[in-house]
Amino acid sequence: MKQYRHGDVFVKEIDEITQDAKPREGLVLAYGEVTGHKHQLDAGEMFETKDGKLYFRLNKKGKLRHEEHLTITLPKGNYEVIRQREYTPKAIRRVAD
Amino acid sequence: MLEKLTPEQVALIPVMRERWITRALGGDNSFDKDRIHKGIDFVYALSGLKEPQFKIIVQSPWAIQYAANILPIIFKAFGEKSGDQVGAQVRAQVWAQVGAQVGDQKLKWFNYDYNGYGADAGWISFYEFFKQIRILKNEKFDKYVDFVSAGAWDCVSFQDVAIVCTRPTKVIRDARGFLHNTKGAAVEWGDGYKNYFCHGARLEAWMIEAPEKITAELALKEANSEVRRAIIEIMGLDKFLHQANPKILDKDKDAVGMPRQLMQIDLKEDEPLVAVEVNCPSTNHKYFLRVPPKIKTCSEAVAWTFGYEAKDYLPLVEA
Repeated sequence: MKQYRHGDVFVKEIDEITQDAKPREGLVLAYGEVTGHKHQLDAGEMFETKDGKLYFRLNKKGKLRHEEHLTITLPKGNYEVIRQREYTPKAIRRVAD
Repeated sequence: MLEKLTPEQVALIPVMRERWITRALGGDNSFDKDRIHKGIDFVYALSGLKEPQFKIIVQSPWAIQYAANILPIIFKAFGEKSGDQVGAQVRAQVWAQVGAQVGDQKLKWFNYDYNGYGADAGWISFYEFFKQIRILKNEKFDKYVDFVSAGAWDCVSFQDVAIVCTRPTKVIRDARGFLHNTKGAAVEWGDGYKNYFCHGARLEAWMIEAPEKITAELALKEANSEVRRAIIEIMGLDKFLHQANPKILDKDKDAVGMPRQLMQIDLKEDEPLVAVEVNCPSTNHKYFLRVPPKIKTCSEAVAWTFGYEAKDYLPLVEA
């Protein structure tokens, strides 16, 4: 299964999107909390589980864009989105770019 | 005997909790002088003490300490019995004079007691819940709650004098509820007194107001690990790592040829700080990501940040 890294967002090809994930509006995978920049798809459908896990489906080739990163072209398929995390002794939190 | 809460009663728990958190930390520092005075008399009577002649209301815990420190001087100056004969105007003048003299001295905290939101909001909300569901009925409790609800944050009691302070005017907390503000004071009081916190760790004002003055040396000298973590966060992990002369655990290049290095800094009474420095191929910016201290290689570290083991982390494209 193919993997892609777009800055602090990691995209992994998967066989099927879990049944727990429900369709979600929009095509933004992640916003930078400080900069307001976003990792955004130009096509596809997004899904999200109750605990915030993100998935998307591309019925044809799609592009993943960001204000600062080069665009990545993704083939048709199902994908899981993983946010980069950082270790803190008390808890684990996501990186905010 | 109560054995199980109804769903309605369970639903009331967070409501009561939020109510008391908001009352204590919501930024409303209004108070009802008469009810506070009545409450003080009640607390004294409950302890078998004569009600105090003087009830002073100030606007911060600092002002309580200040007042508590200059009071003995005032009382000494006027003699123990003279308090009731001294007019308010004269007392105000003495305050001003004595205050000016002792203003530069180190203040002592009188740990006599605490009454008010600051110490009591937690347990009051607990018993208020049982009052709401009609398990608890206690007149003394009601009177005490009325005293606190009148706007008392804290109180220090002496034989003849009680000093009460009102609630903070502004409180900023992080998502987990800890006092936190990296742009200014996390707590502000009615008289201008301020407290500075980062994720619950109390910091000195200058660290927040002039973070560029913080050095790695200062951070490493800090004995309290919570405070040290806060100082490093305020300083910025990148600056800290550069100044602190880290041990380089590993160096390599990622799949697209960008250099990476894994660094370790040993900390007193805390686990070592291990962080990986990575370079973004699109922006050429350096990023520092802290990883668990057991990690030994750059590839393990980067894989960990996405929840992978090094052997399974194989991105086809990185941008």
